[in-house]
Amino acid sequence: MATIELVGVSKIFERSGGRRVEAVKKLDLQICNREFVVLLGPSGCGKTTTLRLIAGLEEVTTGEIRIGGRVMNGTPAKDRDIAMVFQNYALYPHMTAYENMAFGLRLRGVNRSEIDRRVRDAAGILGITDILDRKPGTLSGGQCQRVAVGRAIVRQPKAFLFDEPLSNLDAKLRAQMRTELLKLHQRLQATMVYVTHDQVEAMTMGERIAVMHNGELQQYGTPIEIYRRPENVFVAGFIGTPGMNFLHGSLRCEGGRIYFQAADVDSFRISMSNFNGASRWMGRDLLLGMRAEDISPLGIGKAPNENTFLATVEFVETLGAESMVYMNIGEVTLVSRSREELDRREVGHRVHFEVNPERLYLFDPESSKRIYPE
Amino acid sequence: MRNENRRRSSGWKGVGIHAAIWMVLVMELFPLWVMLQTSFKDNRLFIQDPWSPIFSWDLALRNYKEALGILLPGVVNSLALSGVVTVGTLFLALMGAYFFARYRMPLSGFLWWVFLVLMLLPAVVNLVPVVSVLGRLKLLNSLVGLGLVGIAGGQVFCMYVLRGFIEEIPRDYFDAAEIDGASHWSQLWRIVVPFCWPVLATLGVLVFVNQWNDFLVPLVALRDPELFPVGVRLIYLDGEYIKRWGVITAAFTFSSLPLLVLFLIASGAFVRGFERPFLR
Ligand SMILES: Nc1ncnc2c1ncn2[C@@H]1O[C@H](COP(=O)(O)OP(=O)(O)OP(=O)(O)O)[C@@H](O)[C@H]1O
Ligand SMILES: [Mg+2]
Repeated sequence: MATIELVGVSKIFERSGGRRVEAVKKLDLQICNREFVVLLGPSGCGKTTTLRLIAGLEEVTTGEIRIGGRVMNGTPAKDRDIAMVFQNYALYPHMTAYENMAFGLRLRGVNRSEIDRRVRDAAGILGITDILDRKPGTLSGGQCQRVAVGRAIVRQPKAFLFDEPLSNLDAKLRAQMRTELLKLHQRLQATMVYVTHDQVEAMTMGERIAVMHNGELQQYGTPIEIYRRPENVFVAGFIGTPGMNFLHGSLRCEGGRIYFQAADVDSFRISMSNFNGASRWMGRDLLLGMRAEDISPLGIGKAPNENTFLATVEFVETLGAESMVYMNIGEVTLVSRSREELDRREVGHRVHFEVNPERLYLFDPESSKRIYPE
Repeated sequence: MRNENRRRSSGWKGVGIHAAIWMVLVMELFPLWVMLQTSFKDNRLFIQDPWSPIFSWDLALRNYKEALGILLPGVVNSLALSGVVTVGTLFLALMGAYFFARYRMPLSGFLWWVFLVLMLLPAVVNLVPVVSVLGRLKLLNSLVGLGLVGIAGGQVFCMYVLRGFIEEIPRDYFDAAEIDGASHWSQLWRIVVPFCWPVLATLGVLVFVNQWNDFLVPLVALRDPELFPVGVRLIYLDGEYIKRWGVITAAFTFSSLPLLVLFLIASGAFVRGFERPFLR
């Protein structure tokens, strides 16, 4: 078991025609021993490349990678003592499940009885003992997935790397494998790095999540930190379903109270009285962030106040326990997600909505960093 | 898509396609048939009636016995030569194709084009240079020399085909093997060969047949009759004054027999080789 550290790691690919792609930029990442870290980001943000750099399948352009305290630059993949599970499983179609799992051990010259013991142990843990002599072509996606994981655990590596291992499974199986992988993590007490572009997977599985975008690390923290205190506009918009609502505007001070005033819509004015550092940002262009789940139609009998605003209801989507309301404020569309029922007859009408004053965010559009809460 | 095609090909268009296939088949098989039935005749019968079959086992036995007497010494040479050339060609082409498919080094693109240009040259152009090189290497009157020429000659085509197939193997297989600690050698044997097995069989048949049928280079390069492969020994049949058609066609039939057997054995793989390999 081991820590994994990336210090100032960059990777530049030279494409044909002399074009350079900087897939990973100055990445710093500390992964503790036995930690389950998720690399999360949209397609093309450099997650796979980061994983391949850790695995040693790709050499860093600059920076340093340490596994278990040892600098790994220049060490070939086979000597890094890590195992990787690939998105398409990469099981050899001409070998049985057993042979696939034993392959790495055989190459390392582990003796026959030891191989057999480890393969059967792993198969027992994963519940695939009865399919060991079948070839991958005859196995279902979930079974292939387990064999691929089995091939990784028999090696008893220092760390496990997963590259979107569940993306080829259907939704139900994916949910099931999620819990199984988590159980496996507890049982093996191993360091695991898990790549996904699915934020539900990231939130449910990761002890810490590293959000990446365009090759850069945006934020690194626990799921709650990432959700509650997004560092910047990208993280705020990327995390949560739907992503955070944004509205341009500026801070105003009236009668000793601080308000956020939307840029194009006079009627949108929300109290920001908790913002102590507001004086620095007075009058400057800012971005207000509100999560859909922190906006709800104002309950019947409640009076409009400094935490409410008026908007035109565009569309109502009922999900059962909750409903989504799409509304217009000027040119901007906001989404609310709440348990508060809104009659469909309200569509096209102006309705009062209430925001949770504890859960407002302000971002500086220039640097796109969060400025509130401080 | 495929179903639709199948459905559409029934009807008049289907009849047309079938007629065309049968025409090609008849055109291909007719000479074989003439060869086979002529080998059952002597010259008198042949001249009386060259077309209709007469099955005279006596005559056939005589013709084949004589043909065998002439060809048999060449069979071992041919088998050995074609076998070694097939194995050698595939082995080297596999390694070359693996390199070109998986690695880029400076000038490897250029090198590849040079290879392809070689493919465009007709083999006959090489005859004089090949013989003169063999002469300088003191390999003129030897099967080793012929084998080297055969192996070299098959490289370009085989590498060209194999490279395409190797590039289609998903990169993850190689990566997984690399993490598992597999050397290039074992990646070649445990991943590339199993994946490319059908196309290797196909290429093997092509190379074998090609070598078996090669006439020109052995004829020019060999002097000792004991070294002659079957193809060259056929010249002994060409009598000075009369051609004995029965014996000649018996010899032809016999010399194409191994190819027929090989093709029947490999035909399954042959057809599969033109499809893409199964990947999961
Ligand atoms: N071998 C390569 N050569 C050139 N460019 C590459 C190579 N591998 C990756 N890239 C580029 O690097 C960038 C990051 O790719 P990467 O595969 O790491 O993204 P990703 O986050 O895994 O995306 P996805 O979610 O689609 O898998 C992309 O722009 C990609 O085109
Ligand atoms: Mg990827």
